[in-house]
Amino acid sequence: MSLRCTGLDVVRGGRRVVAGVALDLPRGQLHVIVGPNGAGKSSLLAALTGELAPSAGGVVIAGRPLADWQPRPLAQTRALLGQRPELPFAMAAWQLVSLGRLPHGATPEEDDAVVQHCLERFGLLDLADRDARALSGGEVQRVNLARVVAQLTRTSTTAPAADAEAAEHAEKPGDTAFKTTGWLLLDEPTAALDLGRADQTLQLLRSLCSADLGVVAVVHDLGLALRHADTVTLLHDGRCVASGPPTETLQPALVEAVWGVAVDALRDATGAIVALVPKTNAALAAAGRGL
Amino acid sequence: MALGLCLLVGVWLSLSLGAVQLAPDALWAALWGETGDVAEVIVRALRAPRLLLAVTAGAVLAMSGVALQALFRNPLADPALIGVSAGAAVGAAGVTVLLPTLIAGTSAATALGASGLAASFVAPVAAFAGAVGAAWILWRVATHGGRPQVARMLLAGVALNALAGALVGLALHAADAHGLRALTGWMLGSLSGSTWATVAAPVALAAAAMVGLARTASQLDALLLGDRGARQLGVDPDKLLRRVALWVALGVGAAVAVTGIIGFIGLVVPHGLRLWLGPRHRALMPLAALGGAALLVLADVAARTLLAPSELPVGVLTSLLGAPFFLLLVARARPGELA
Repeated sequence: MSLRCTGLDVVRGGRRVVAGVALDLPRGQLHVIVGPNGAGKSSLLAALTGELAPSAGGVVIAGRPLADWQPRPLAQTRALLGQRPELPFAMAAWQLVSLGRLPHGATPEEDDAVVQHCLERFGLLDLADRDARALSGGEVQRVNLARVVAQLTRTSTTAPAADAEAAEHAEKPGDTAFKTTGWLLLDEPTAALDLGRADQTLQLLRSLCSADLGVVAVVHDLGLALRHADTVTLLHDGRCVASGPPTETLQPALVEAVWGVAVDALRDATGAIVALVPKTNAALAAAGRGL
Repeated sequence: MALGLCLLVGVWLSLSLGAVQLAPDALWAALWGETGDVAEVIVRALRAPRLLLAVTAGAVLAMSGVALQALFRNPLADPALIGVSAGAAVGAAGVTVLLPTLIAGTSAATALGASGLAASFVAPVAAFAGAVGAAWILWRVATHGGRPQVARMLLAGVALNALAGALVGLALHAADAHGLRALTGWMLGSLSGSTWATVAAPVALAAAAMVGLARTASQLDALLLGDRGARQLGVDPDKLLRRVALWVALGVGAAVAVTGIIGFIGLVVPHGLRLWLGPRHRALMPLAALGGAALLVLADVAARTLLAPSELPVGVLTSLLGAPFFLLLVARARPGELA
């Protein structure tokens, strides 16, 4: 049930933005993709969802090549959080979340239950009835996260094996079990979030990972990657420079080479690196004090 | 609920009021009686087909408005405003007035006008072609890099409406007295002169378009997230565009072929309903049909009775109400929302 790609090339505007990337990501983990601006992170993510057709190589989800998937089953198997969509009409936050339910063709009751569950998971119950277009950047980001999670979630009563008696049981309030399966692909899910929310959100995403669900997230903050990721993949000029456990991938020397800035490593009590801070900041701060 | 009630009241008024006013019991007798008196003829042969046409045209115009607004991702798209109705009117006017005049002289035009059912098929087909043509030009002009742009859409609508007005004007020039009346009807929008023969085919075609549009509801929902978002949900936006354009052209074409240009139904009804229900199309589509039907039936009752015994074209009335509403929408829009 892994997400694999081999020799993946993506050409955009005559430029090879993703070049020969090979990944084999198991479910049940939070995989973080990092890299400087223009490294090809978003293009890689778009190619993994099938939105961008690769010019070479291929993507395999759950053992089946992307090209062999029908649109609807695929939409129930992987969800992409892209740039924030611009909404043409006023829409309550819960209605935006409910759009994630479209590929399921489920009953209104199940849709409502899943939407409610996802709003609750992301702490959005208070915002549910507000106009999504009037929310702050961070709030909208969380609503959209809830939407893509809702796209991959179903109540266990709809599982094919469930017999009538089990279904009857689950009808009782509080008895419904929810299951999120497939792959969440998130382009900068923490972009508009404040310090605490960003940390909380990655923690929550990490906790969602299970035998059924894998998460791939593009993140800019290397500290977040170090603290929460199971694996980190480092992209540079469309190529995969390193991939593995965070502390192995995000070696200060490698980070300095790729980003072209000198960094200081901050370590916790056990000596593990928890953040990488550009040295120029310290120099600037010193200069600021000098003024 | 409220909408259903409005429609019922409209139906009752539309059947009762007119030059011969009928009390409820007389109306009942006229509907189901077997006496063959004047009231029966008036209700069954004149008012009932007109009512059916008002219901269908109102419903299909409102549903087309909903669908076009979803496609253009903007609340200002209305079939009449952006020139689709005008394209249909040109098609219908061209084929029923201009062609016979040019080909076989005036007698053919009268013959065609009189040979009920045949003409009632030809006009919707020509109107459909006109609507498709207008929609195609509109899409080519109004999109830039595959993305619809509202300013372009409205400007293209202005030009299409002007062009259609000129073409109908040309037809006016060539038309005889019979054609003249028909053309005025198309330009102003009117339900008068409906008989079962002229109404049957357009109503059937419009009903097919309504079913087709209703079935795009959940895909239009996906389009709320934009083209990219729709693809992620398993919806192909290009296929959806072609489907919706086809149904809108058929529905608007069929309605316009008999009623002429009736504006703003497709603007006012969806807007009001969205404020109430939100933008999800599964609820919006059926209620838009109900609301559009109720609005046009009531507008037609008003058009027939306000200045009785003379009759206002109903399109004049809907524009009288709808145009200020449109101005209000524009004036209240947040900066950047319409551009």
